[in-house]
Amino acid sequence: MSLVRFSPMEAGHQISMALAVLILLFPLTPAVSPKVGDPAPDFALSDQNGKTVKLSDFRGKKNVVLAFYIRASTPG
Amino acid sequence: MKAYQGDIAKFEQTDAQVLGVSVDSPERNRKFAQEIGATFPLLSDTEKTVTKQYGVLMMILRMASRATFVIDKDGIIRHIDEGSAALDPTSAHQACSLLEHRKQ
Repeated sequence: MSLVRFSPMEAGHQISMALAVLILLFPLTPAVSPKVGDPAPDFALSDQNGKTVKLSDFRGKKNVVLAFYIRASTPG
Repeated sequence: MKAYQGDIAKFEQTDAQVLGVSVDSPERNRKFAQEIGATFPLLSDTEKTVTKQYGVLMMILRMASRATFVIDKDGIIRHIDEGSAALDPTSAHQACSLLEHRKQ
């Protein structure tokens, strides 16, 4: 295995290695997911109509079901 | 997300707001919302900040393409579904139901 030379055979492996290295180096990436009982990290994201939605908007008002679906047009 | 839309009335009964999150642009999410008839917000995390904060990026690397977090009114995570379990909104709905019963 070589990390320096590029060959199509090793490309897939090198991409996964590069991903692993990026994750190790990226300091904001938590090593573990938040767990049940942990405070949910707040966020402010744009919805499909361009309106900003914050998690804290629902504090004291609604339970929130936060469903990550990664990409549009996937099943479920 | 279609399954969550299908159960939207059930979620509303338990005082729960459904929020979808993807790394798509708001424009892409608008088209997706129209395709599936979503009436709840589909949030755009193009920078992947929130996806990382919730550890979902790590789950994706473990080949789990879905994750659902149930957060109570105090902002505490009360239930997590990962992978194929998150495709079905039933357990998330049950968690919301429990939260509402506990309160009463």
